[in-house]
This record gives sequence, structure tokens and C-alpha cells, in this order.
Amino acid sequence: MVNGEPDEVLAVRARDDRDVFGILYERHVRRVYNYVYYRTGSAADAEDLTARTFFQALSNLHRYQVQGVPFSAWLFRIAHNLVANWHRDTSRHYATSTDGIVEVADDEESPHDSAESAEERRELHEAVRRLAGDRQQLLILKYVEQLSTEEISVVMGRSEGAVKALLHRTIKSLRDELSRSNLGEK
Amino acid sequence: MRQWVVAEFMSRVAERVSTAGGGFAAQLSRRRPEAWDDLTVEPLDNAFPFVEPAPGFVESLRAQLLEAAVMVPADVVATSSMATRRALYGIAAVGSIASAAVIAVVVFRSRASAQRPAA
Repeated sequence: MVNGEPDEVLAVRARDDRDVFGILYERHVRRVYNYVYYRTGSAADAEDLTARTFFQALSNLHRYQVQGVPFSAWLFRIAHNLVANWHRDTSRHYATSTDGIVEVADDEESPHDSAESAEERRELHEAVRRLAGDRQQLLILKYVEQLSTEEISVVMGRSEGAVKALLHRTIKSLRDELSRSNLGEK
Repeated sequence: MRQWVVAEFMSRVAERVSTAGGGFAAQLSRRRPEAWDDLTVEPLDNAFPFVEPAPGFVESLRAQLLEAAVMVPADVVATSSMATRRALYGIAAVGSIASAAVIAVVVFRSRASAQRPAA
């Protein structure tokens, strides 16, 4: 019955039972990888940082406080710190990666529509790339990882109000950026 | 005359403040934080497709995690080494105080015997 239990309960049991940690790993490894991938832009770095995230989580399980913080947010917080260190160490400019992503075409879309939506997506990616690092991160957490505002606030180390305000500003600047690029084309 | 001017000025200020207050209130109500979550750019939901890790990587990492040696938490190590250090500092402090006391007693006795008149 371990499989049906919430993360927070498993996290406590995993301190003494490695198999239980394996269940937590199975639940979260893909989302953590996806998050790291979008923040580093490289599959090799995403694998490396994902592995480090889980090893760090394993060795710090005793520090996890069940009350208040969802386990997924705690895990993403570790990944966030590792990615931040990675950016600092490699002195790379923050960039959201879209390289290597297979574009999924809608079967019912005409070739013209498909090309148009691909173009729109490309423009959107370009606009996101021009945003500041914390704003890119927020969009990934919100729209890629589908984290709640509470979870994002834990990951980013900000209050929920600050996260909502940043999201508001981010979306507004993204809209401005997109409308500016549309005007530029016309 | 001057009183009338002042009164008119105060009345204008009051009017402006109340108008501005209403404007701010209206702005704040439009910017209710709970409404911000609803602001979305529709294409964003589909803009970032989920990127799956390689199955081989997931399996390999899982095996490594399950077989990894139990690591001693860093803060436990730090706590124990700090406790040892504190005990050593304590012993050193007690030793220093004890030796200072012995020296003081010796000095005091030697002075007392020197000052005692020869019988």
C-alpha cells in the first residue's frame, strides 16, 4: 500500500527504507529532469544535475520537514540550487532551451496551419528567452511543471504574493514583447 | 482674506486627496493578487512540451540510488565535531583556571612567608 501514500509520508519512511525512496524517485524523476533540461538546454547536463538532485535529496532526507512544505517543492528547490550553481560555475547566460524538442503536429491541422503554429511557438520561445532568468524560471515552473503558487514560492524562496506579482509582471512583459515583435513584422 | 485663501487651498487639497484615494482604491481592486493567477498567455500551456529522460538513464540512476552507501548527514558530522571541540575547549579552560589558581596560591604563600618576621 506504500504506492498510494502521499509523498510527505513516504519521505519520512524513506529515511530508513531505501526502497521507499525508490518510489519517490519514480514519481518525480521525469519532472525534475524536464525542469533541469529546460533550464540548462542540454540533455547531458540535465542528466548530471538530475542525478545530483536525487543524491542530495537522499543524503538530506532527515532535514525535510513534513509540515508546511510539499515534498515536490523541496525537491525542486534542491534542483533549483544546483542549476543556479551550474550557471554560476559555467558562467553561462541563462537561457530556456528549446533545442532538440520534437515538434508535435496536430493530425487535423493543415500544413499551412501547422507551419503557422510552429512559427508562433518559435516567436514565443524567442520572447521567453529574452526575459530575465527568474522570469524564465517562473514560467517553466508554472507552465511546464504545473506547480502551484505555494510550491513555486518554496522553490524560488519568495512569498506567494511575490510570486503572483512576478507572474503578473512576467506575463505582461511577455505580451508586450510578443505584440512588439508582431508590430515589427507588419 | 488670508484665512479664506488658506481654507480654499485646504479644501482643494482635501478634494484631490479623496479623489486620488478613490483612484488608488480602484487600481488596487483591479490588481487583486488572487486574480493574477488567472492571467495566462494561452499558447504557454502548449509551448513547452514535456521532455522525457532516456529510459536507460532513469533505470541506471535508480539502481545507483538504491545501492548507494548510507551517507552520514553533513550536519550530524558537523554537530558531533562541534560537540567534541566544545568539550576540548571546556577541559582546556578548566585546566587553565586550575593552574592559575595553583600559581596564585604558591605566590601568595611565598609572599606571606617572606613578610613574616623572623622569630
